[in-house]
Amino acid sequence: MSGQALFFMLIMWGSILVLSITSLSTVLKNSK
Amino acid sequence: MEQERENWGSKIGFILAMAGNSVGLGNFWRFPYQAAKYGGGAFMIPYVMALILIGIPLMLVEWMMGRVGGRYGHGTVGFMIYIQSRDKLKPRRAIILGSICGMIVIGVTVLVNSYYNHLIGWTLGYAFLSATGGYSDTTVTTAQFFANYVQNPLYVFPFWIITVTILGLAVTRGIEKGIESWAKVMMPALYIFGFILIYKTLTIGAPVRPDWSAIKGLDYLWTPRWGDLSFKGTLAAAGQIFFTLSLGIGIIQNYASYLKQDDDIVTSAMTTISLNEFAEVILGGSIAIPITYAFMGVEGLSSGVGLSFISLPNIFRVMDGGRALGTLWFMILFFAGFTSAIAMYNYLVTILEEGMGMAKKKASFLVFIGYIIVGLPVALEPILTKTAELAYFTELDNWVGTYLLVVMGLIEIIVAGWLMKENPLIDINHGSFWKAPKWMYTVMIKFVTPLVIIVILIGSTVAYINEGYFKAIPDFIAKTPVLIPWVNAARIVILVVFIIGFIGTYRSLKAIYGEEIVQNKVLIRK
Repeated sequence: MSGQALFFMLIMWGSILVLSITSLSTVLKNSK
Repeated sequence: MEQERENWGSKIGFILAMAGNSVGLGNFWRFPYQAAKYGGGAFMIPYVMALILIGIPLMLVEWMMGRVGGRYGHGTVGFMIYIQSRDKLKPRRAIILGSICGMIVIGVTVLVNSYYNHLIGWTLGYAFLSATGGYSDTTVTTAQFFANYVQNPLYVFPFWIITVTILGLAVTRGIEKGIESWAKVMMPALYIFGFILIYKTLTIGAPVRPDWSAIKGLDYLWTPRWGDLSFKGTLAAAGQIFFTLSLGIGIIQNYASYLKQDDDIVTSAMTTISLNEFAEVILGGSIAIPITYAFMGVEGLSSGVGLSFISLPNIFRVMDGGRALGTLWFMILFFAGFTSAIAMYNYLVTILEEGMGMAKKKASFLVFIGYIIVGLPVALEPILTKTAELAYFTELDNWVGTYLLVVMGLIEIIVAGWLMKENPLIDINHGSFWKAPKWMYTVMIKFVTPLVIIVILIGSTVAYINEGYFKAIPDFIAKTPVLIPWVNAARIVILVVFIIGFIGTYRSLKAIYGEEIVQNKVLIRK
């Protein structure tokens, strides 16, 4: 894969993964 | 009027149901095709911008409107818009706005599901055919096989009826035992099947030509091609955000109406968005395009929306383990479609329950009958005309499945930004672990989001004019006169459903808020 493609893919995948994990763990940890 | 409302049974069940509501066929089918067409990595720029400028603010607003609506015992949009706008508009004008919004959402939930249920039926049919080798005869092209499929009532009707029946049974069981239970099974299965398919796809190597491989497919999808990024691509990205997050349909509000009043909105909405993006960008982007590229090169990607039902079966029937992988692929599509269609089904059941006091079982049965009636033309057109252009379906999708979502989104954000009595952030942040910042209201909800949606709406209108959708005989059927009556039928059906939707919403609003409308002042507050 070209560097540019890898850059775009990793930025998107990384952001989505971080947001998914933090939001899901937060919402489940704080559920009443 | 005090009504006992159901609630979600568990947080994880609710989150999965909301994620299922958003994750639909478009995540796996429409997103990869749009991204590959409009600039690959470059498409992600308008896509992420639309997510931030439209998706997140509108999602928060829809959740807030839903939870407030639930407090008043309402799960439908006509009531929610009335409640939120009646202070500034006054009840007599608010009832008109509420009725217009109720009309649009009834139009969308009735008519989108009239063809969406068929799409889900096709995915179930193709899952069955994948498992049984039904399209493995290589003397028939997969395009011809698809045309034969939609023209064959023995394929179309059973899988469609099974789909609508399961939807009806699930909705009849209620929020916790029906919708939530199905989401708890289908959504994890969807993600697990997706991971299996990604693993198989990315380890497939270069089975046909050394310069065609799945990794090169990923490279094609993600390499920014700035020349392919146009205003049309930007519109497609914004449209995809509406479509993928199920915004402007009324079903997010409906699910949110079953929240308890102290339940979290901001964190839960962000979780739903991120799970949807996970399914779309990571799973959706890593299966269809790479596998098609590995077997057919860049030309295989040009089939657009035919990618799922034409290109991929062409691959599944020749590759090792293709039957199993084909079954997994179409089951993913089935789960994704089902968990969205169930939300539209439930919306209509809620209307009958709350607007007419009907029992859930009876309401669910009536919606079943209604869906069969409105879905019949979609099934009959290819069978009777011996074509596979799906003109009735396309006409409905152009208006109620695409254009009106943006119109509805614009009305919602204007109501939240300009017509609510109080700052919507008060309700949005109430009970939320993460808090939306002040600028989410003062900058985004009031100005940026409505302005961006207006630009999108103007751009879409111009594009529709250029593509001939406003013409008496739209360009896409100009060369196939046999389809003209089907397009006209679609327009008449839209009009009839709108009239029924407007009158029904108006009468329901008047039945509960009649005194407010007579006095033209707000009397009922909760």
